[in-house]
Amino acid sequence: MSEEQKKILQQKLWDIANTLRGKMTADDFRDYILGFIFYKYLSEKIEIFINNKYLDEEGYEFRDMDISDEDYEENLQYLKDGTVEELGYFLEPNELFSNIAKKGNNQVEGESNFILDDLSTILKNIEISTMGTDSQDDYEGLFEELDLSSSKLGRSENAKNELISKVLAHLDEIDFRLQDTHGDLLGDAYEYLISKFASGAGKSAGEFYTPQMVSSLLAKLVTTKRKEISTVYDPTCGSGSLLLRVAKELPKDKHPKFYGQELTRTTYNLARMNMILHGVHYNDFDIKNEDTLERPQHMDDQFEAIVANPPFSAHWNPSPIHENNDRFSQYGKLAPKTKADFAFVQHMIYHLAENGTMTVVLPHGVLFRGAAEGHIRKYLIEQKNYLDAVIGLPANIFFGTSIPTCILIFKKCRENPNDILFIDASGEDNYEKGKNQNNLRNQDIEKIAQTYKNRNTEDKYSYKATLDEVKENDYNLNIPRYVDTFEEEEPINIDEVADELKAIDKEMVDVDKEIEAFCTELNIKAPF
Amino acid sequence: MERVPAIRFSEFSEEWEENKIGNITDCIVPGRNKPKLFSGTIPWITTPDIIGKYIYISKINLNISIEESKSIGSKIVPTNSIIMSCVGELGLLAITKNELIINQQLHAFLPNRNINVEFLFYSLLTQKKYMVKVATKTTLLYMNKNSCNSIPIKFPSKQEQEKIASFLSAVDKKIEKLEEKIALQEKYKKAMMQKLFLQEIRFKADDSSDFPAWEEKKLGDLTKINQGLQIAISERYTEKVKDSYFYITNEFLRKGSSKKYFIKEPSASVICNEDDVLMTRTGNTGQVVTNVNGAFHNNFFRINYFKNFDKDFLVYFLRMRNTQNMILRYAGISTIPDLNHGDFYRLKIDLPSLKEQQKIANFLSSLDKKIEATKKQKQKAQEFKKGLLQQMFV
Repeated sequence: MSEEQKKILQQKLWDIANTLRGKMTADDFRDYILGFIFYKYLSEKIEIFINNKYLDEEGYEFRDMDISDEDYEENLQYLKDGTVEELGYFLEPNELFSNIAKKGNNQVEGESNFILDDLSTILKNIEISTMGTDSQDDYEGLFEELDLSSSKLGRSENAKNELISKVLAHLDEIDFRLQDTHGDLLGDAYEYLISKFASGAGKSAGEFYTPQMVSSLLAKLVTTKRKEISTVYDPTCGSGSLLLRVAKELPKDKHPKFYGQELTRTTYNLARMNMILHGVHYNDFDIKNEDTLERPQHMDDQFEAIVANPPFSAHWNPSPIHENNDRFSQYGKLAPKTKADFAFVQHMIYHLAENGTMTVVLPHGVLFRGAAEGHIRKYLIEQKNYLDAVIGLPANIFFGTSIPTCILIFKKCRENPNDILFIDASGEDNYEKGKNQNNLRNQDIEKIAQTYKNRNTEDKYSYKATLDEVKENDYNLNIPRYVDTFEEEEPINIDEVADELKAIDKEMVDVDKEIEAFCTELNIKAPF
Repeated sequence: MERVPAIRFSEFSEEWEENKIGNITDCIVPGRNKPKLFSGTIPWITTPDIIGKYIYISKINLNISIEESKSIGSKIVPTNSIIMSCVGELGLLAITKNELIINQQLHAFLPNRNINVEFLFYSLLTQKKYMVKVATKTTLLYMNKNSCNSIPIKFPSKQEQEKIASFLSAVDKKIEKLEEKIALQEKYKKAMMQKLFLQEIRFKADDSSDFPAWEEKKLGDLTKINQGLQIAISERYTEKVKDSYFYITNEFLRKGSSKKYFIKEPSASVICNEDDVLMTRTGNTGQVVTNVNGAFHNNFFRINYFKNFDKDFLVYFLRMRNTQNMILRYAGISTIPDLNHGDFYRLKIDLPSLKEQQKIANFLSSLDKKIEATKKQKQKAQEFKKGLLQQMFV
């Protein structure tokens, strides 16, 4: 797979997303286009799978199976059993994407081009095919956002049908190249679309997508010391891109199992599709749709890598019930109602394996705010000594918010238990200014990752603070206290300045004389 | 109507002429459109570029090409023209020393042979009242082409024009030199602070013996701070009333601020006098205030210093760049910087003996006095120029 192909595919998909939506908002159209891409993926995947595994030798293809054959049902059941076991779902030949796309565009003789009903049935059937199997959780309700009866699609049934058929036709023309790629051509394209939607969606965007540069940095940091990680967890996983990004930092054959939880239903669906599109086997991911702080879904598990970009300073309910919860009880205080940041940190710490690493992006305030947050911060450092590094990021690198942020890295067994590394990556040399947003370049990410890996100290960039120093600062972690980025005053040569002053006085004598001469002529008093 | 100025070089006696500026100069009005492409060799001048008497290219950052200037319908303003702001703050003036192109907020006068450009420059300085009078008043004041060209100019022979202009130029030069002098004196003082506080230069005691070595301390060892008082705006007075105290707020520190507040019955702990040292703790953290009577706002704290501290020395120490940097590091740079008590107490200081402190402080104070004197001189020179503008023109 070349970069070129990847770009072309991404551009094509985005063009469809952008041009066909008509008057619909990008946000509204998002779930349709992403859903259909996913459906096409499932379709092609199953064709390739069945053709290769069951039908290859006879030169006969899955799509050629004829419903009027007398042993059709029997053959189908045979294929279905094997496929669901392996892929997790099943589609019948007449349910394949290209078939329905052709029908919608009048290319199937003798059949109506009205496909909306068929389409809903097919999508439902995909979900039904997983029922009672191990993959059921991963497919249940996956297409629920794809509402084919929504009036947003068009005023009449025919108008809706026309739009959907057009989208399918365009998608049908694109070769997803599932056969000849080892990489994640389609998966990457899917992520690209998600990010494009995120960057265009304004305020709400941050909810489902962490900018790629940030997720890539978090992933690099969490895998700094270990290239073999069996489990990775994201308690606020959004579209799951951060989890997948961690896998990219690991050797290809060492895929970890993915665990995640996401509050928003739509985003949760995106995450599951994202996993499947990236070829993650249904047994290798476990993503739940629930409120992480209120109803955690993996209470019994610990994970070797934890990453998160939780909602910044979200509201939550620090009710006394939580005080006895294993995640929060030992700290003695709960995160404040309007700032759940530390509640997420506590939740993550609870799930962190003894040999694990966690990296989390948070707003700057977690570094210095007092009261309960100061108390929790102190506990984590003084009592537990879990905090390994603090990294200040440039402002304005997230979608929809410009607040300054930082990354905290925690470990339960630290290799460097005597100090905490501070990196100030917010300086002008350490990012690229963009039109609406600032950007971390590859070199910036690499520099942070290397500095963390080697625990380098560099003037105006990084500093290793001893635990005593942090204590002396009352566990206030504000980065300027540790990384001094202020310019030192230039040493001034006082003799030189003294000479210059004398020279000015001399020059002024001449000016004064000139003025005096004029004044005499005017018969007024000379002022100097 | 008067036709001769009050102060005049004696060799001239004939009456001055009067005409509209439009009749004695050509003008260039900027094109209607904005350039799209900023690349080329001709400087693109806007109002903020008018800083001194002349426009120098080196200070300009935007350039456009001849083609672009044609496409936006702008003519090139030649050297030795006057450009003038005609939107917003009216009558900002400068003489061009290069060919350039002006944006829509500016107007250019190209004097004819009988008019000395420098004379015209000073003459226009005396016409601001007229400009405001003829300007249209919407959100911003605005003079159109006709208004600009209607400005009346009274002028003598070219010879006299030149003489007046060279006199005023000499006065301008003096002012400029005084400004340079102030900058250098300030630089000198800064350098002296550096050297003295870093002990690169040391005073000797009066009997020329060495002063004792400086002691490493923290401000927490030497001071105690207390917080100010927050009073709602609705409970403040805007003028001095009986038994009220001047309310020291951030507003008071703002340059050119005219708003004054007074409050009644503050608690004793927030009343301060000239001997007290105050510092802002939040917002523009680190500003040091002293020599003021009043009651201080909660954004400040008062630094109560112990006997082994000389007040002026403390003030210079706090205002020194290194100390300010430390204060800002503690206060933090995100959202609103805020210095808490503990962090103030943590500030390190190398403390000389009281005698040496006084020597250092006295020396720096005399430098300050000298700078003040030069500033005053500059201010007076400006007044002198103003007087000349009033009386040497008709």
